[in-house]
Amino acid sequence: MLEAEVVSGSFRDPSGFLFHSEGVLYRQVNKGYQDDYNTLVGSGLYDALCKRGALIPHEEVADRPAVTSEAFRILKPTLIPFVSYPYEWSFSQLKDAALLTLDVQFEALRHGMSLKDASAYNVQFIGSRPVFIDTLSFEKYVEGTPWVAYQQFCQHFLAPLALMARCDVNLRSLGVPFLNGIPLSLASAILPRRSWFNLSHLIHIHLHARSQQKYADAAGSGRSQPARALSRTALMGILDSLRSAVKGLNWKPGGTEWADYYNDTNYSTHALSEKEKIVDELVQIVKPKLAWDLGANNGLFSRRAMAHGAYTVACDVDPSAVEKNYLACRKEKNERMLPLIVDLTNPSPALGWAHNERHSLLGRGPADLVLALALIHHLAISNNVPLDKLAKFFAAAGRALVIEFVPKPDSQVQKLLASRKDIFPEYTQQDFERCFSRYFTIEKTVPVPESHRVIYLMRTK
Amino acid sequence: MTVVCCVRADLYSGVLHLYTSPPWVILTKLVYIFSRGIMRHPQNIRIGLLLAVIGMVAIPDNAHAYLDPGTGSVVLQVVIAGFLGALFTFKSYVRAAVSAVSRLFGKKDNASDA
Repeated sequence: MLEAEVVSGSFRDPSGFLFHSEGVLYRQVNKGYQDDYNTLVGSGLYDALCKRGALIPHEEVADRPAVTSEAFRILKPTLIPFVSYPYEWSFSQLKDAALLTLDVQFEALRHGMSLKDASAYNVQFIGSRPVFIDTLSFEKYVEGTPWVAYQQFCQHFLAPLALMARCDVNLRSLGVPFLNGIPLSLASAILPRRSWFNLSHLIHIHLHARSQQKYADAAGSGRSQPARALSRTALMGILDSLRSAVKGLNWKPGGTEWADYYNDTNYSTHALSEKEKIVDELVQIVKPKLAWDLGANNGLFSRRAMAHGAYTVACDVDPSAVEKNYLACRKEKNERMLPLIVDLTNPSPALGWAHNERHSLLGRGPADLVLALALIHHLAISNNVPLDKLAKFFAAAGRALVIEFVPKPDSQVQKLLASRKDIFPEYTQQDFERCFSRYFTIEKTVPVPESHRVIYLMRTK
Repeated sequence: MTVVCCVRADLYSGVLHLYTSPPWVILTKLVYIFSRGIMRHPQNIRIGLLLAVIGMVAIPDNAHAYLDPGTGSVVLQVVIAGFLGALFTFKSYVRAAVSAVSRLFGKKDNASDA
């Protein structure tokens, strides 16, 4: 056994697994997957998908000994700059991931292969580009067999998208308790009655749910499949129907509390451009490779970090703001910024088997730089988090911090305090500096012109 | 016990090894194939579906899959196969016709430009 650490979430598929060795990520392909792997490469499917940017490329490494005796090949895949999860994606991100999965399946069928799973966790984003990351998801297509991943596709993509489009966009968060996809019976129960009149919803969700219920005990072992049941044309028909179903689902981000934030603050245009300059200057000092912009809204300041070479994860709690940011990034084919929906008052937890399959937000850090602009008053006053706890959280999130202190006289803070009692006697600039100095060294303090606000550059102690 | 092992080995080997199957496995496969014939007549669709389900439940073919495809999902795929397959074929013809017509007009436009 080598000094190798198997990636905690990589254990379900007997075809192989991911592991780290000396800080580098590798994928072991097991002997049992040899035929399928050779077909993936030999059929031209691997090249075709990589050329389109749909599949994560890898190189075969000969000098890296296998982790177990089952090894057939060791691969070194291209790294994803930041791993994100479907319950953190906006509507269009999940929709694009679904369409990518179907495109990959169509391409696989053209090369005599088929996807053996269709998990949303097999898709990651490089900026705004979705990419399929599981090289071992392909198996030889046997004419006549149904799609083994049909149920998984419906649960991981179609059901959540339908719920988000037709009920409430916040139902995205059902992905947290239902890690293996939204049960179709649940989706069927929640979806409005009119969805029964939509052919795709009727077939792939409502009838699918009833079929699952009806045959729940029929299989005994649950591994049943018909020997020769589906022609290739029929399979293409099912996939085409799924594609139409996904394409037909739309959600329009509305104006929300945050979506028009920059048009509705007490910042003058001059002050806003001055703030951009300050952030620019501070980011340049840190020169981060990975930046997290927490409370990023539409990514205005994330773009400053990106401009200085950082791969920037732009997190915000508002699905509309993240959706708008993603659509803007997609339009400009941006591969350096990843918009994500994150509620900092309840950030993504560690999930799955032994809390180890999907990592918490902090578990995926620390970032080289955290931006926390116009954020702290929402956490300290709206959510009653003491300054000391905030400082501790930010110290765990990043090695450096650019943070804006928004004092009580600021109109935004006054708005927050307008409808409640001021129980925050310690929310002062002096207390802020005292609390943050326990975890950080304050390097720069820059007042924002035409406002009461101050922006700090700090580094963790 | 020996019989069970023998049957399982056969179940996991797939249709190409049908000739090595015990007679009852061959029989269930034939029932399944027969059920598809029956389903061509609309009045027999219920009994056809029942036979198909018995057939497919008895014949797990792709046993290498690590993902449970779900019996209900497989049954649904079989049920919707004909309709969605036909729809797909129809759409393909429509697409081909539309693209042929647009090519035709495209050429005409080019010609007139020239």
